[in-house]
Amino acid sequence: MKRARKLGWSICLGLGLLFTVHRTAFAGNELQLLIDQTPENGVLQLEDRTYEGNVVITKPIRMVGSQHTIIQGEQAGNVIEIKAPEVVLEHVTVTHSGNDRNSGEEYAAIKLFEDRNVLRDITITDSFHGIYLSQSHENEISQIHVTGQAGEIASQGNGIHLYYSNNNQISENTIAGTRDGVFMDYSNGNTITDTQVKQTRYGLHFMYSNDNRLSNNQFSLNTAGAAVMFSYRNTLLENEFSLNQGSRSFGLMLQSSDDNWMKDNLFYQNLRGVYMDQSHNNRVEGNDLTQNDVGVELWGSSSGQVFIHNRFNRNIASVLTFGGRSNNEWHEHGRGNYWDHAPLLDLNQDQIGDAPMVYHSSIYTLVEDNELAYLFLKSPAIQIYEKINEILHREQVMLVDPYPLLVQSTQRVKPVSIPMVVSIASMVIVLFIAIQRRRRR
Amino acid sequence: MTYVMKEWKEQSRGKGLWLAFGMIAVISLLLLFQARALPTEHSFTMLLVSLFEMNMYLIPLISLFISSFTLMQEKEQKTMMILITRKESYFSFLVKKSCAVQSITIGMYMIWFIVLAILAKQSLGFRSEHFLAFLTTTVVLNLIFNQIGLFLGSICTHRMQLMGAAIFTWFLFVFLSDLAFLYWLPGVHHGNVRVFSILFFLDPFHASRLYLDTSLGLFSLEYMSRLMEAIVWMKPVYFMLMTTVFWVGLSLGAASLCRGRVWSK
Repeated sequence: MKRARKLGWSICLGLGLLFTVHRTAFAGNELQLLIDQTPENGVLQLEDRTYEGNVVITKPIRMVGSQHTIIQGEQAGNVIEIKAPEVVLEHVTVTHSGNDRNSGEEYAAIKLFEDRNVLRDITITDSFHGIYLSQSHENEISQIHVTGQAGEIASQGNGIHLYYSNNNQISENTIAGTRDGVFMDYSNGNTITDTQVKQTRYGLHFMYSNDNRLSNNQFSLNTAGAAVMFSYRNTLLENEFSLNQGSRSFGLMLQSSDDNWMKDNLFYQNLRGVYMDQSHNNRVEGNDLTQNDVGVELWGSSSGQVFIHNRFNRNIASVLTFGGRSNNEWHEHGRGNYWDHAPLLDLNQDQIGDAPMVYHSSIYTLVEDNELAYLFLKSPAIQIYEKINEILHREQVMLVDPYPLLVQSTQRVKPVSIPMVVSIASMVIVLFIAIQRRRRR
Repeated sequence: MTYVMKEWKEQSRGKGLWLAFGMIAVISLLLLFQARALPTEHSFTMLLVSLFEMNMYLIPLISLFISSFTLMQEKEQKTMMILITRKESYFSFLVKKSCAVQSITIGMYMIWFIVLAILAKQSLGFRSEHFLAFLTTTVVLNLIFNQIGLFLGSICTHRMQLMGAAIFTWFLFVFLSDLAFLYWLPGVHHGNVRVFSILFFLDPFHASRLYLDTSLGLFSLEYMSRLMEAIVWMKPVYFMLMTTVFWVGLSLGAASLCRGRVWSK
């Protein structure tokens, strides 16, 4: 009797397993079958439902989803592998890639191995890397929304990962909660625009990547905004690096990177706005450095930088230099930078201060000796500490700008909203009536 | 409840409370207008950070003065003698008085900041969990400095003495303690980092700022150096709880003990 019962259970379990395996395999094959049946350069219109992955695209087709089209991976391997040029994939949600960090390959929701593909309007969740370009060039990637997995950031992959991939156009994406937002490794000539990255380790991470161009991107609430390492001739234009305030954070870090150009960027409320170490001949021009703990942190190993037309507003320490002063220039063609803390005389009214701006500080010794000094930069005591050291002549010259510019206000002030005015006015009226009644009593 | 009603009547009839909250209201409205110039996604977060920085200066000052002077008033008007002779110990009087002062000042802050949040919601990217974290830090700072104020009110015998003590305490917490930490910094290493951490987070501003910054997502506890990891060895909320319990308990106990000694003399 017992044996018969056992046999019965075994059969049930076996059938159940068989049914499940068969169903998954069938569903996985369904999308692969549809892809295989689509002719070259044909269109595959996906329905408003969930398709099981993983799939491989090996010919140029256009695969279009609709509002609720989901391609769900097996949680092993890449969900979609594109191994053909000129594939167009748009309007789908891709989820459940493999997460195995011990495998020889790093998995992604979508992995590109060929050139000139288009990825547009794609949402990616619960995957190791979002999009991975492996030696894949001249692709157009836009409107990609990657959300990291819950939990520790360090154990996750990157939002968009480029590996030996050149001349790609990446635009209008949002990335949150991944390890790095956009990671480039040996990738040159790429353009990244209008992309928002938040709550990651590095919003942007360049390694050995040259001649890339970034404009109008926003990197906020990351452990660090952008880290440019061993990379040359990159252009960063009109980006926003804000609220990157961890214990070792920065808006933008240049490490062993030369000849880069940073123009018209906003560095707002970072622990360090711009940080440079072992980097040379970079040009920092027209940037707005506002309310950072340290505006610019320069290590003595960095030289030949040019800082011009930058606006330093309400930073706790505008500039800190360590390891001695190098030959960095704070002016060019008779024009320097805007400094909010320097009272300037401009008797000839040429909008340039009549005397050089010499910036002293004593905080650098604290920061140089012990990283915990960053914990106190927001403290009201730091100003007293600076004053005491000023009296005791323990401070050092951080920089000399011979042509400081007269401060120009750049704050964008929104027009006053009517509901707010009405609310405040009603509050004042209520308060006034209450006081009047009280007096009458 | 009787104590709360009595306290409310006394405070609302005086000008001190209204002047203090008028100041808070004006500054926070100015900060609100300033925050509107920022990108909408982060403007509310930045408003909360700015409000916290305002609180760092104003709450200690306001709380120390309001709570210490209310106790001094009880002494001067002999109402304390009447209350205590009714078979009530000084400790129980102090606890009730503390509850009354705390509920009125905290209540006032809550009402004002909720009104401000309603105004902020119209033009900034309001986030309720961030606002709650900010309110928590406001309550914590109030609790601590009100209690320290009541301690000062207990031990001081003259108004001038009390004024000096309150100003010194404010200066000690806002400036001197950090200045002492700054001069100690070069001597901090892995061997004594735990002692430094405990003393650092016993400062109510440090504990509440860490809690607020981590709650707002500004300060990440990932990717810290080993020294920093040794500093932040507990969850920020526990540091805040630790400092609250320490200062409230110490102030209450010390006030009760010192007062007893003054009487015995």
